[in-house]
Amino acid sequence: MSGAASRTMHEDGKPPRQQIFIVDDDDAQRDSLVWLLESHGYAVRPFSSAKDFLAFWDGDSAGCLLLDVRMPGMSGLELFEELTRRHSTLPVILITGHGDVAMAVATLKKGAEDFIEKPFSAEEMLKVVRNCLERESEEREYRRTRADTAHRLAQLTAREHEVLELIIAGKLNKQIADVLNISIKTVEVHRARVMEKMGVSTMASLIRRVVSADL
Amino acid sequence: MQNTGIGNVSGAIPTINGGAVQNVAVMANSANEPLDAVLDGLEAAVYVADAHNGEILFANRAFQALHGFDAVGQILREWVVPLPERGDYRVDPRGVEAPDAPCELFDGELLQPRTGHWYHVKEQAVRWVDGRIVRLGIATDITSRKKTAETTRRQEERIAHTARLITMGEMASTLAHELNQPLSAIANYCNGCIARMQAGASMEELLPAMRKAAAQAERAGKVIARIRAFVKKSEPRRRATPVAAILEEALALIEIDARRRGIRLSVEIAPGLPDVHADQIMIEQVLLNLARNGLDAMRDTPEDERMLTVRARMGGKRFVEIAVLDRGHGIDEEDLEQLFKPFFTTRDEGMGMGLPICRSIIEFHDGCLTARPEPEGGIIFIFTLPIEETTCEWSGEQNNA
Repeated sequence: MSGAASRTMHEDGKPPRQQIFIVDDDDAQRDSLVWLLESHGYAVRPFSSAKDFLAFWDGDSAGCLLLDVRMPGMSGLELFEELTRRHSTLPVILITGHGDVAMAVATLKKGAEDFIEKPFSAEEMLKVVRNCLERESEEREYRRTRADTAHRLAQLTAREHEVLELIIAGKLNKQIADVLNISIKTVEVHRARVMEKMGVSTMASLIRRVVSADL
Repeated sequence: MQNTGIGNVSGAIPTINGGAVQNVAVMANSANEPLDAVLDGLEAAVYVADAHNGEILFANRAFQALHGFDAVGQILREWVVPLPERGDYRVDPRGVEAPDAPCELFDGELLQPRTGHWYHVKEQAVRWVDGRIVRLGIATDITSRKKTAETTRRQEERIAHTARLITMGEMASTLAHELNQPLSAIANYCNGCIARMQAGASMEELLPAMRKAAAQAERAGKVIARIRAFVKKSEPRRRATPVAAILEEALALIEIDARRRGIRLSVEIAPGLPDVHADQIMIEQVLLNLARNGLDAMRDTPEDERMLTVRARMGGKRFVEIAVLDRGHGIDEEDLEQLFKPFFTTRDEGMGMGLPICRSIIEFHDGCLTARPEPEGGIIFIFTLPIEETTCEWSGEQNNA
């Protein structure tokens, strides 16, 4: 569990290192893919079965999953569905064989990130992975900020909340004072508290932060 | 002298065959005994030769036409009689002594290399009128019978070859997939190496990946070699073949198919099996066919029960028995009889020719192919192949004496 902490949280404020997980039963394909991706500087973690991956999976690793749809035992598709059931946010790239495209499209509709058809070129594979990791990183950052904002909002008192809402509604200090029937001075104190608790220094960033979190 | 004698052979026989009756009448005049006339009238060549030195003591007309009309008194020449020098005999006639006679010396088919005629030759060691041991032989021309058999065999071989092409056609997408795996692995290893070389990687760093790429190229090559061997058009050649070798090659192809369908393969080979007398490719074809039927039959079997078993063991003293069992939907007793009839099929894409061809291949091998339902569900196919027995091999085949 100590590993989970280093993977997930950001005491130092840095995002966790992204990893590419590969689940493929074909030894040659898996091993060569690890080599290809590692050669391009990615951290890769291979699994030879869906079961092995599920045993490892803690629901919170950064990166993406390269998943071969055709496997004996639990198929790639079943693993994908299981991850969805577990509310995984790890983006999944399906590796499909020739003629599996219709199935891949159906899976995309269910929320898979992308698919790549075998045989693929290294270029295609690298492009799909790069795009996917970029998006994952953005999504993760967004989720992180959103969670942080929610956390900070929860710290506000009821009165501070009221003040914040009125600020966002575009009211001036005087108007806020009138609405809440308090002095301007008090509004200013609340406002300073809100800014501090929300971790922002300007009005603009306060508003952007709260609005973009869409809570 | 020798050339002239042999050159006459092909022309002389039809004349005798055609005019047999008149010739008997003509020859009877010159013959001292009516028995000679009868022998001269035979289509078969009859001869008697000294068992120890090969001197011809008697030759009927048909034999003279083959060996020369001055045959009597000469030494038997190599062409249509078995020769001890060539190792044709199991028991060398030169060593046969009076107490052993009469005994059989030779019973087999021989090719006259110059004319291309086949003869069935039977020879016995007997005691001659003057007391010495002689070889009494009868050679019958069986060329036309051989030719008919040969035509039939060629047709069957063509059908079997076509069936192999069809099987490979049906397996094409599976095989293409199987080839794609190593090819894409090679591409991945190489592309990774390129990226690392551009980043200034050392040789040692690249070496393991290059080795793996090379191994994958060999893997692809092996698949191709198997396919090529399987579809190659070749004369069936029965020879001493280890059962394990047949199973290994056929199962390599079956395993590809089984793996894709999530079916386990179980192989049981009894220890110490003797070689079988068989054409390896044809038996692989039978196995592949039976196995693929089995795989198809397990489409609706729950995944953890899907298993194809191939078992090889002795079936009696002179046969090896190979069984292929599936855990599929099985078959009704009445359909069991239909299985081996042409065009009977339970598959949508099947032509219904697989099993009849399998049966004729096994029968060509003097074995038999049968099927019966498995009590626990599925079908078991069993075929037998004769074990290799030591025979003398040259241009002819000797029957089992």
